[in-house]
Amino acid sequence: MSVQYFAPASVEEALQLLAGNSDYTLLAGGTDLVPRMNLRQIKVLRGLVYLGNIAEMKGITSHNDYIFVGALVTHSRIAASELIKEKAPNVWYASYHMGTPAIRNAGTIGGNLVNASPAGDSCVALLAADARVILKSRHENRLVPVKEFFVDKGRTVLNPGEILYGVQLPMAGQGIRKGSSYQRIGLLKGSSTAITNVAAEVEQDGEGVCQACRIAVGAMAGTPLRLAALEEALAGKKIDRDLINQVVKDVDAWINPIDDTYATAWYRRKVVKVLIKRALLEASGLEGSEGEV
Amino acid sequence: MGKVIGQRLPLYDSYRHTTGQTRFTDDIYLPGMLFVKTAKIPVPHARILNIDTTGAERVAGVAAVITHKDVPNNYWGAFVQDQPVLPDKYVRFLGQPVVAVAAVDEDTALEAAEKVKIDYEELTPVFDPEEAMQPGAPEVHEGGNIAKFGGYDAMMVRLGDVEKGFAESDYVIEHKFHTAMNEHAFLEPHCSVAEADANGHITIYTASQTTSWHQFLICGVLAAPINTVRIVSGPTGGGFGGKSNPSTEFVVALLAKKTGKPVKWRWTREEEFLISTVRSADTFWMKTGFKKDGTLVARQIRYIQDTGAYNDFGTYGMMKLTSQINGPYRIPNVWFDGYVVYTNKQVTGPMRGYSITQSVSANETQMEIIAEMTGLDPIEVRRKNLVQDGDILPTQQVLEAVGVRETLDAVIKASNWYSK
Amino acid sequence: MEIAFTLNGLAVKVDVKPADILTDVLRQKLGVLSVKKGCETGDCGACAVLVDGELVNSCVTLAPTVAGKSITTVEGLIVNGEMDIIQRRLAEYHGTQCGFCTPGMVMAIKALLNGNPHPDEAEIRRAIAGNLCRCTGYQKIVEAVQSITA
Repeated sequence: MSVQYFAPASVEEALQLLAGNSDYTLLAGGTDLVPRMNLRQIKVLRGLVYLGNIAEMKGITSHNDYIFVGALVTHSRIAASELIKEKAPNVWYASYHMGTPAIRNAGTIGGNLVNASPAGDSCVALLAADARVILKSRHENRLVPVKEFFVDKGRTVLNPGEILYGVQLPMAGQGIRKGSSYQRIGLLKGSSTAITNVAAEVEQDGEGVCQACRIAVGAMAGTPLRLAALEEALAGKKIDRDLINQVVKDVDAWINPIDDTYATAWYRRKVVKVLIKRALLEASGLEGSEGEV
Repeated sequence: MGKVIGQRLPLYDSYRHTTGQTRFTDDIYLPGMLFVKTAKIPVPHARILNIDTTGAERVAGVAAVITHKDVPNNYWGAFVQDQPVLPDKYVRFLGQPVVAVAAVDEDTALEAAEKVKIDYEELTPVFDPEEAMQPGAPEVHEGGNIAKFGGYDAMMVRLGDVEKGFAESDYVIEHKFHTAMNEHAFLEPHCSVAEADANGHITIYTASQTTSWHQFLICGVLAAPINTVRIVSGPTGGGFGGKSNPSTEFVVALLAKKTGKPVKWRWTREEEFLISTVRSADTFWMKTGFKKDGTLVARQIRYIQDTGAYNDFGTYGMMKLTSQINGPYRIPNVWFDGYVVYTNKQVTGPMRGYSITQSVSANETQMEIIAEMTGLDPIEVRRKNLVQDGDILPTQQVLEAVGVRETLDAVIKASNWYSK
Repeated sequence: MEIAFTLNGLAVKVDVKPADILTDVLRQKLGVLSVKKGCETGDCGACAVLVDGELVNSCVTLAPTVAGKSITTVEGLIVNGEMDIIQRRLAEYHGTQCGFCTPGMVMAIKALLNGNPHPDEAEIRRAIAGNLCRCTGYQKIVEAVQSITA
């Protein structure tokens, strides 16, 4: 297989290259692409565009109402960021517990999004964070809510010739108490793909009444999924244990868990309810973290 | 503590490990070396109709392509010679290599292997050993799916009178156990390198747990006198039983002989999971009779070992198991029937204790249940039933120099069991 | 294509194909045989090396991406004929058995101690979580690291 290789130093240069060769494959950390190459699952590879030299896509910067995280920021960088840990704890948790040290050193947040695994750890956290992705092409920039980013397993709204430039994490307004929780279960404590993962963010007023909430789950559909029905059932109500138990009961209608080598759909259906309950209890301040299962 | 006794001594090869100087088989690169990949079919059970290797032979960089026709004695096995080096009539598990290609590099070998045409008729597979034992089940091997022990279907062991034992028991418990297949998953995938000289002498570099055993089996397959095959067993990057029988060695030896060049075959991790041997998945029923005071009286076991597509160490493993079915406990009345059953799955082989490990989980589970039912301390139930000098195993061996009581007492002391 | 990088302190130039993985280039073109092929999917850590001081799995790193960078393997930890203390202690504390995971394990520990000279047990276990060992059960490896940092 004869492959062309490019390592552009800027986004403009990369977009220029893609403009005439939209079938070229983008390479960031390589932790998803290269295993597939090694397993001979990639039958056609014409060109590789390595993005690792583009400095502007490697930054974490704080803005008025959002934090920008470049698509090439590695999970190790996120795990080491005090800013992300404080302002977007679920996004921090997902990166901190992802893979292994060597995978976190190479794997990027943008790569996790574009790979679009149904149980992508960052994907689930970013969904619950109501994050937006910045998609750049030669002629336009698009700002797309992560909620609208995933199409199916391994497929996103990213067009040929477009690059995922970075992620915006919106910050809660003044006076709102935002709680969050990330729960995941894998076969091993370290290093394993999530059997399922749940991220929840709950915004409450001083009385404990839910102003807004977002619940995202992994491996419950072809893409990471927001549970809108559960969110609506909590909105406007004072959150307590009974309410949480009640909404968790209704989750069955909204999920269609995947069945694979890591776990059966049957098991996922059972365990996700436990994780959603824990996530909501923690995010609404009713219970402390139970940590990694 | 003396100068030597009581001192910690590093293993003699450990500094070589930590400095990266240890040379495993895959670290051998010989001038002109060829690399092997194989052609397979995507189903677990099939009759082979035709093999066409011409497409593969035409790929530039391919030195040789071999099929069953190139193997002098194609069928081998530790106890039953039922496994083909390269199958001629049937494929019996998913991923079973049918044709081997040697080429200048792995990519070329893979490209060529994909050009091999194998025509086959798909056959109904059977995966569950209990199903495989039923009359009318798909036949993994002609003549039935149950391996023979001297003409019998089961390995049978009898001690005392088990019916009388159950009648004398205060309680009888019975459970069905099922254990899962395990992959050894040693870090070093299977790999071997062979080179042949002009005299027809072959040297095989490999990571073998059983060097002479390899030599014996390889000579059989090659129809070569034992003084013409030299096995160099290098460091083994983990074995755990999984490197007890030859795997890649037959093919590299044949290809080295055919091409006159050194040949290496290294399995990928995917191949390790698909085609290397595994610990068998066992299904068994264990019935145990005991007295109110926890004394074991009788035990009956029906044991089914899923040996996969070929026998390998299956019947041998079953024989090993029979001496250990009661663990370290004395039971005067025993009735055991053990079946080794073929299925269309990868071959099972030794892994840290054959089926003994599987049976221990059942044995100790029942000891816990017995402790609960009698209200005795779990350690006391075990202590009461430990074997001692002069006891007879179900297989009739008379025990001597038994140290299990002293060992258990030392554990009780060291773990502060009674203050927990 | 030709790429240049630093390997264990030496400047090297090597001809590679774009899809070549770093493991193959190190092993087959540069003779660095300590870097093992255990899985080729980034799961086992037997191929782990340091790239600019950070631990990466060389089997999921394409060779051209390390152009201009600095790579360290266990061979590079021996200075003036003296082993690194990690190499000595892993041997002395029986943190190595079959040896196949050992070079990657040494590099994972090196990466840990470079950033954190006094890790606690949980930090040690987290740092070696990507280096599978089927022989030791990890306990002796942890004890070897603790003997260095205590």
